[in-house]
Amino acid sequence: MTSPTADDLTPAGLAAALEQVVRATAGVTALFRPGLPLVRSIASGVRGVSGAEPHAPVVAVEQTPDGLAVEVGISVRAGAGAVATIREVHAGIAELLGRLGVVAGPILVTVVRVEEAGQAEPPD
Amino acid sequence: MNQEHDPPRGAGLDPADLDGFTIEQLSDYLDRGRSPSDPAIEQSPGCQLALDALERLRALGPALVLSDASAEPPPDEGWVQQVLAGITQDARAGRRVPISSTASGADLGITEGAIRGLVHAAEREVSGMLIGRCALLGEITEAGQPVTVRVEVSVPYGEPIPALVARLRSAIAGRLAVHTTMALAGIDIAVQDVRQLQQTHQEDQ
Repeated sequence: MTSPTADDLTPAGLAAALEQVVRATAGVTALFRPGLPLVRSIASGVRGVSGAEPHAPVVAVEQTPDGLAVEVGISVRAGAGAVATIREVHAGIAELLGRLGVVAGPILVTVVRVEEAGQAEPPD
Repeated sequence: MNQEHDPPRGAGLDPADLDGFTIEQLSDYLDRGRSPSDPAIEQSPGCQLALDALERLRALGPALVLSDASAEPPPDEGWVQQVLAGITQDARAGRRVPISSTASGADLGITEGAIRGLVHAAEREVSGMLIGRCALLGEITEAGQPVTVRVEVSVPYGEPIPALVARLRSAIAGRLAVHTTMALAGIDIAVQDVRQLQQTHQEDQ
């Protein structure tokens, strides 16, 4: 089985591949669609990025003059540490983009919750 | 295991009012054991932070939870009401605090709400401690700028307050060091109340 290239992936496919990478990162417990005002300023005018659309990708991607912008919100397990986890998430995203030959633009990752041991995880 | 969470009602990650829910509704939801599961609650970062806070509050004991507004108010009702009111405020995403990174193109951050949540969770390490208001003071959106954390707390009667406060300060500092890269200038802790826990009442009777 060969790995996909950037040419093989639609924007939705690329977002899905990035989502897989983020979910697989140790310490990540959940993903949240983007929507911070700061981030919306980058994503303004881009359909499927605001978080208001029901089928918008969890990981938002958008081509910018600087390269492909990526954005995602995450919750992390307290024991893993937010700083260590978010850096791992960024590294994973950058590594995948590099492997696909995609020029990376800004990669925005935001921790929206730190889950303590014993706190209930949302159900599937 | 992780799940996909979609902030409902177009609120994004910055719920203005717990994504349309009230703290009373979330309290009722906890009473029902979070069943049936409400995706609008479970997929809201703000509601999750508020539920975390409510669970911590309940863990301190029935004396601190106002399950019946018509009941005889316990002595610490005022403080608990303040805490409940503060949960809504604290669960808001608020500002985005940068997390430093040397990687090219990295724009990493943590929400103010998430930071307040982990500060509140530090009360678990100090038995009987209850954190009320929590504020991050300083230019927290600017990397490297000094930030002071200010919290108001209620402490259990009978415990040496300086020791309790020192333990809490240590617990908060440890968490901030693991989960943020803020330049922490200080942690101000104001003891606003000394509570007699219900367990103590019962033991006295």
